[in-house]
Amino acid sequence: MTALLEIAGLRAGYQESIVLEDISLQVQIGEVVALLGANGAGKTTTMRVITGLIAALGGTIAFDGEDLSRLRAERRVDVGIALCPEGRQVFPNMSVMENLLLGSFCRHARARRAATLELVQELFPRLTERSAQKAGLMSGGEQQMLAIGRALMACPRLLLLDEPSLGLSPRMVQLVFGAVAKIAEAGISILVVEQNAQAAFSVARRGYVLAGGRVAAAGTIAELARSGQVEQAFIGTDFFKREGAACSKSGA
Amino acid sequence: MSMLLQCLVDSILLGGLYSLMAVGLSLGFGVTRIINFAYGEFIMLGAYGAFFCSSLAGIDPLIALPAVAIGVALFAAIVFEFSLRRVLRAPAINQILLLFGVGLVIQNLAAILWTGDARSVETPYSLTAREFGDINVPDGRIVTFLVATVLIAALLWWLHRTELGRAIRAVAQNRDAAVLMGINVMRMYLLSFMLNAALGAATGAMASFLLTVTPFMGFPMLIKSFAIVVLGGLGSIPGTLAGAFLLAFAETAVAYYVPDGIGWAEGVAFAVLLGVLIFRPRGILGQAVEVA
Repeated sequence: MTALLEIAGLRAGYQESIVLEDISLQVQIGEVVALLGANGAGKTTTMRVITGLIAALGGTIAFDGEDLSRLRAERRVDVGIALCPEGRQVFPNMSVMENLLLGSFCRHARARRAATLELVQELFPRLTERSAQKAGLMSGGEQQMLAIGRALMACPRLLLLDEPSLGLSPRMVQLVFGAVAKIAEAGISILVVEQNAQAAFSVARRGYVLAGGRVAAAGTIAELARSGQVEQAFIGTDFFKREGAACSKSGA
Repeated sequence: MSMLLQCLVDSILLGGLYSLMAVGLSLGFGVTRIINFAYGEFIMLGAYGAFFCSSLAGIDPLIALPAVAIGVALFAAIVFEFSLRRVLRAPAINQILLLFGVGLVIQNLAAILWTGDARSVETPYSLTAREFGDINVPDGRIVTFLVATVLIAALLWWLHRTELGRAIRAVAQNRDAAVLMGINVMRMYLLSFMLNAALGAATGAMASFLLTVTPFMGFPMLIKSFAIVVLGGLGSIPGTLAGAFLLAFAETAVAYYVPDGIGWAEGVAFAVLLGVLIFRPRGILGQAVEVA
């Protein structure tokens, strides 16, 4: 397998605080990779650096073998990277349809707009029903579907999902991750950030655990679940007792 | 009774022009989050453009309007590239002072180049009027109302039905998300600033046959536009339209019903501005800062 996304020694942060000290990770073509870690570990920052919303201070990011550092944020969509951001960030005063159309603003996606729209609406029938609804007035779950759908409209080769389960009911989490599994089956590579390890483990094959801006552990989901590294990264919560039990069940 | 009716008709006709004027300021603010304090000067340039087309070449201001709007928009692009671009991330006060300064420079250049003389444009429709019963309606006002309506309708169509229009609204609603869609935000800032100038210039071209044209005509227009936008809620286009008609009505009513009201009418915008800021800072339709 060739690496679609290859990050090596990445350093990044905001003004005077370095958030990412040294991040190295890879996503292979067709692979689903989970990015785990406690709040403030640097997961969202990693996503923002990959999309170019914030600049890297050091290290390299290569996409499909090409250095991304010279590519401005809005041009990275053109090469095939789409981010479904934390907190969904839909355009609140626009209709669901307008949000989706904006997803395919970039040229290569615009050419295939009608076909992609059909696929997205098949994946999330709810979006077809709500087509004329103002995005800001929808429930959190519906907005999440819209945000994922909007990212898919860009015809990405790599889909970045930042906490798709945030603030959703368990049923909705299931629904959203069901869709993520289907997207993966379609061959789109996915890097997913999650606090909900159980949900992430349901779709990912490999994972990285971040702590303090570094990669604390990496490996297959089964290895991570066994080693207790995930537990360590989330230390201070009783999180893993619940999640861990669930993982070993589903991982078996 | 007929005075009330006359007052209403006058306010509606004036409100159309005010809408066009204020929508330009509102759109620019909605996208870039910068209030264009040189906006009045773009209106003034539009008025001079129409005046020169008319006096030098005999071209009607309405025929000249598209070319004048495009010309002023190109000038605004230069202003953007050489000054505004550098303060996009700066504190609001820097942006306001910069644009205010740009406005002063344009104003004084105009006074040097074209003198401070008051000019006016005469058109076949600027001196005629129609009677409907007791109501007297000047043709020039009807023309400006119709042109303003068409331009606003075209703008709204463009904003809602085209790729670029959608992109510009996306930037207004969520800048980072717009970047993620592959939208070049800087280009949208530039485009919205040019649109802002074009709408100002269109307003000026029409003001050329309603008002006297001087290098200093812009400032009161800026204050009025600003009062309307604040009244309607910053960045909300429906709010801006409502604000435009409210200000037009308030001014007209003062002119009709207050003794010596014509002189006072010009001050209504200031009173409105003060009142809104004290009693309802969000504007009538706006949320704290909500957009298009």
